[in-house]
Amino acid sequence: MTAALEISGLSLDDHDGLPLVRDLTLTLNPGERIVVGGPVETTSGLLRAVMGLEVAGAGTVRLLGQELAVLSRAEAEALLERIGYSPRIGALVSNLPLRDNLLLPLRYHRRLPATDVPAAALRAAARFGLATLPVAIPPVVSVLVRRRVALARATVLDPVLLVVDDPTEDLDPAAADEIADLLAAAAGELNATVLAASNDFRVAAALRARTLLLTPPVQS
Amino acid sequence: MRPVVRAVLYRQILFTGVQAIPFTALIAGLVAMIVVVQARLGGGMGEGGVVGRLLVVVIVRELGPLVVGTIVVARSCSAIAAELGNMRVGREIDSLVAMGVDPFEYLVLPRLTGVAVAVMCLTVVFVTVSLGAGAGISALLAQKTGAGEIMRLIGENLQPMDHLVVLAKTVVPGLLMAAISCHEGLSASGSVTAVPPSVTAAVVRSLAAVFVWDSLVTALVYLA
Repeated sequence: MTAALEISGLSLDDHDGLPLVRDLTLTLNPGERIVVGGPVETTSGLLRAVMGLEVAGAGTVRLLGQELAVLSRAEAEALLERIGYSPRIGALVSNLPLRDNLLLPLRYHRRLPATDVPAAALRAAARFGLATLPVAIPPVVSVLVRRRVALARATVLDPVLLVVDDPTEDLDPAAADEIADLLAAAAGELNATVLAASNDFRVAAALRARTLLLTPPVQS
Repeated sequence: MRPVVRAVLYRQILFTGVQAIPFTALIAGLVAMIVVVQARLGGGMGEGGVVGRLLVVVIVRELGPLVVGTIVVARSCSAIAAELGNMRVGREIDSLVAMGVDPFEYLVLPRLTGVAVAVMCLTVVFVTVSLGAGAGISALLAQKTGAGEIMRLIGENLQPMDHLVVLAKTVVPGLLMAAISCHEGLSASGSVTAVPPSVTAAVVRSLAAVFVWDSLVTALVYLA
């Protein structure tokens, strides 16, 4: 059985060269869920490295059995279509209406006939408590609405692996509870493997995930 | 081209081309007035034929592409660099990459195409308005020659080569200025304080590219 995520000997530094992660090895089998806690720079850096957005100093990351860094553009695109990523910063294109943000992966990858696209978007929006597709641009709506749309977009292509960075950050306790529960329900519906970064116990509890606490490596 | 990329292209043409028409037409009329008044009164070139030729030489071959290039750099290239710079430092481009969306295809390609098309079309607008206004103003200043006669003289002075020159002086600078602006915007890194310098660099380098290219084409076509 191919692991959904396989991290081997990963070492990662921040932009100042300070160590974030040293020699991390982690395997997630299909359907498994893990919540990584620790300093935000470390957990975010790890998720960005997993998604190929940070260059690791050492080690490899295999997503659904493939190493993103060595794939051609078309192969990488096909792989990333199967992964839903919701980052902590810059999740949505700020000058694009929320509706178009949500529709973007569907329209770009064209996996569905154009007539089925609105229904798929509405289905993803409903997973995170949105009855309609909002037309405002992201900066003018609340953090909660932005978070709902960002998470809905991460699930809009029915991914098999969900990578979610701090889904309850900046939310009040009731909203954080709701988002954690909706994320768990979406992961269950999609039967997706989940890698989440969060220091909020509600996320791990709702996902019934195992937890991993990353501590900053000692600088040598 | 994917429909979602085509939509970005249409928005770019709308912003850079269509929405710039009123301002471009205003500048075109004013430039025509300046040229004709200087020719008639400042330079003492009273003949309609001379003014017709002057309008072709100055406006069609030189000022049209240069002024439109300057307008587009000021209006659109600065906006492109600021928009992409903010997207870069806000990590929005990373989110696109993580979704499997190619930033070159989705962000850069439609801007290159849109700006090139817009510069070419705006130059046609500029030249048309400018020649029309020039003929009208010239006829007002010289009672003996009518506007129709001056338009005929302008037509006589237009050479087939002028069309190629206008094409060369619009499409290539349009691509150059869009490429420079996209590059400068996407090169912004760190924090939002990196965005203004990238906008400044985009404007300065795009203007330099427009003027250098224009000079090169003029030298190659008319000196060779």
